[in-house]
Amino acid sequence: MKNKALGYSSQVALVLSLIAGSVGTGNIWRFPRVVAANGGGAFIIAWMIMIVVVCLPIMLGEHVMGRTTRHGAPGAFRDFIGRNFTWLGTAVAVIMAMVASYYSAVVAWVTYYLGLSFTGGYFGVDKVEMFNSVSNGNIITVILFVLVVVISAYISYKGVSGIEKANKIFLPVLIGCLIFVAIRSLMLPNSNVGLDYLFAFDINQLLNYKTWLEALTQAIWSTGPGWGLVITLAVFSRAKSDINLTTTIQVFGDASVSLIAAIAVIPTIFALTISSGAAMEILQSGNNGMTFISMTQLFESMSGGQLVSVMFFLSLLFAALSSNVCHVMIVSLPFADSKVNRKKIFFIVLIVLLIWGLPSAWSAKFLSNQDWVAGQMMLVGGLFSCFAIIKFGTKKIREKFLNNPYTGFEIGFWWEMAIKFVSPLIVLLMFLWWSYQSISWDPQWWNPLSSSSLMTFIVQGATILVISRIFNNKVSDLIANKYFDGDNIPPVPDNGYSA
Amino acid sequence: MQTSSIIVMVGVLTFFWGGFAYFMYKLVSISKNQETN
Repeated sequence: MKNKALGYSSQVALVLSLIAGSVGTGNIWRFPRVVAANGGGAFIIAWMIMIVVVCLPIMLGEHVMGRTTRHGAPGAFRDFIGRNFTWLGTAVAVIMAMVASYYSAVVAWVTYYLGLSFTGGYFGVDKVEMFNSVSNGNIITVILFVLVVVISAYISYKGVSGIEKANKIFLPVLIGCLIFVAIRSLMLPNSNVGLDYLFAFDINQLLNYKTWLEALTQAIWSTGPGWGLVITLAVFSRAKSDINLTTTIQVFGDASVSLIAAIAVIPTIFALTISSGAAMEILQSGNNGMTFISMTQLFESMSGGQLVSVMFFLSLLFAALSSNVCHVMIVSLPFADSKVNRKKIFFIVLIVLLIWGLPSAWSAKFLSNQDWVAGQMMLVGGLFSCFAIIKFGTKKIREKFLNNPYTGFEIGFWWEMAIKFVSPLIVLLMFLWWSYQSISWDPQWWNPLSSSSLMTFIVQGATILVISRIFNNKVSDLIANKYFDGDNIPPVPDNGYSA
Repeated sequence: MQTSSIIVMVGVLTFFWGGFAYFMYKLVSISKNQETN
């Protein structure tokens, strides 16, 4: 009798899963906004460099961590660099539980607006009031939140085959809808003004350090180094699949979707507003302000706007949902590594996410607090990955695991320099810069109860790190098997999620 | 549109969309070869 091989059904399935995990709301509502706010073309060039120089090197290393150890984040750190460092992976998994919790509430908002687009329910009403009522104390939002958590947990429960099947729907719909909105955007009169603004090149912007820091922020928060995403999805990749090629395609795929989104959003805003100043005001109104208030106003004012609105929110929904499924998988896999029954994992994860996410579904202020803390902690996760990769040995990783006989192209010595010096230093710099920024934007930066203060990040972040460290040995002992001998790539294990 | 904007647009889109298509093509070719062998 021939058993079905475990892991992804093909390399293409692996790469689509990686892209689906990376592409999220950040590509659609954050990228166009920050491009416009930071000088268009100059920002895009800086962002392009940051993706290749900072994100890709970390993600290549994380792919090796997942592939070789065959464990979720805590087990991956344990088997890659030693038992004492299990807590680094535990902290990453806990941060992702936080992300999956509040992100499910964001998906609920998007679903709500998709429904309103179908019915035309937001037409003719005050958009600010509408958004406030959807995001604060709304029982329908809470019900949608519960549904999102259940669906995400269920797809994740079905393992690799569940993710593959879901992505066969999510990705084509997401990209198809986004291309539709982009084409409609380019057909609007004066859309070329927006396009010109989007790709305008100003050398002074390129010489401005803020452009580079914003570019790096967008690159990291969009592609996903330090989230445990690549580690987790690589667990199910077969030994012969090509790490260099699949990770590069993941990064290029994520960036390609961001560019389609920018072409869909920016020309629409410029074409439908009375002046460039008004367009800039919209683009500087924050993610929620732009998407749920300004874009809906523009959809209402354009011909065929209801259909465009449906397509826009549909693409946003599938981008968010495909990422959320992967977030849940990052949280679930460490339990599977500890031999917990899959059904039990489903219910444990469900309960954790419902309890942790409910305040975010009820209050936009709580959600923005969680978003701020998790965003900063993801940078810390990126530093953890850099540390693990350097500690294991960059030369060995490059020569033995990245440049294996099955690779389509070889990674040069530049990768070792990037991961040892460039990536960690730049991520650290960015972390410090955002922390410093938070002091200037929040006069109550010392108050742990203020939603985006430095102190709330320090208190919550330190709590996660300290608890993970305290339970280091306990978690390490709970992870049952050790597959990696330091030299050979083990086959995909049968952990309940790999078929 | 200004010439510099057009150059940046063509360059960036070729790099990412073209790069994505090229690497995807390469991956599919390698996968087919592995299946044949």
